[in-house]
Amino acid sequence: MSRDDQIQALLDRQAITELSYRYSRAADRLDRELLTSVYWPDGTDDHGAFAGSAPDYVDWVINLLSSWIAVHHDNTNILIDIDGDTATGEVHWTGYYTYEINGQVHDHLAVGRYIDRYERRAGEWRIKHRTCLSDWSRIEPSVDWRTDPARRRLAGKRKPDDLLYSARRLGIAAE
Amino acid sequence: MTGSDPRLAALADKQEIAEVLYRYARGCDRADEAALRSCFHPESAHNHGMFVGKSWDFVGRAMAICRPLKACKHMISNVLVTLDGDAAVSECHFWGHHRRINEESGAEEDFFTGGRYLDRFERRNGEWKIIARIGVSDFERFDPPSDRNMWTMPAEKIGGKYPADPIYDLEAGIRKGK
Repeated sequence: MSRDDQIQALLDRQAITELSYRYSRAADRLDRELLTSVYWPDGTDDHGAFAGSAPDYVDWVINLLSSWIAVHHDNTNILIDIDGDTATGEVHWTGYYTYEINGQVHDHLAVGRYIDRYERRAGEWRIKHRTCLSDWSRIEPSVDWRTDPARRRLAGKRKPDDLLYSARRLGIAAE
Repeated sequence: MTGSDPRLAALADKQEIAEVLYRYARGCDRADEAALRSCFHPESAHNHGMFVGKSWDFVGRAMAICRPLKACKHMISNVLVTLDGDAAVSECHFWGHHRRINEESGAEEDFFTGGRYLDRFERRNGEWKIIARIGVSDFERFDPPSDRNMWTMPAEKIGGKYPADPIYDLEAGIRKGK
């Protein structure tokens, strides 16, 4: 592998890794446009409870997550295998979900993996197919600390209310 | 090093910025004040939890919180950086755990927290550091301890503070070429 190919392989890995980070940002902040942009328009997703086209998946998951109080996904252990303009990847996810069950706030901690196929078209990597697998999960009663005004000041919110989008005013320019 | 290939320079910048974020986590977990301070430019602005002020003043506050903790751990993930010359903005995720004393009951409890750091970075003299930080919380919960036998292990097998934790001997050894 030439030095140029080595650099390109690192760039490809970085671009593919950032797809998962943007996916998580989009899900957590309910950013439909950003979520759509990580899939090819003819892409597909199989989340178990939903399987179908990427645009239909985006509708389904945004609708589901918008009914919850808060969502946060961490991604780790990203293993990518590149073969020309296609690639496969395994990405660990940890999801922290806060929602009400019968009027009681619960914390739902869930952990699993995405099994992905990526394609590069005109120099851009996107997800062609994502399968979501679950490895373990717990649900426990909680208290919603967001009801405390002092804590709510820096609580994560959805687009466009999250500080990610207004941080520019506070001296931190976001995208 | 980064003069020849701008693509490589961008990768190196992202890696250096990610390592500042990792060093921040180590600084908190090991109560390593110098490591924590090294993440911020002297005039960096800070807005996290109940603290609003200068990052270097936050460092003192963080030490006061983290040093007495029986255990403390921060994990950083999902580092998304946008580069603009010698400036950059970054969002990263954090997951944190504090084993602390509940002020009302006096009993130990586990505090779990997750959120994001929204940072502005500047490179000066070739070194990336944070110039402004906002900490945003996405989840928090408190639970009674549930340790089984972790605390019966030998002390040297449990994460410690600066300079007792084994990472410091390891790094000193690497610097000496061992």
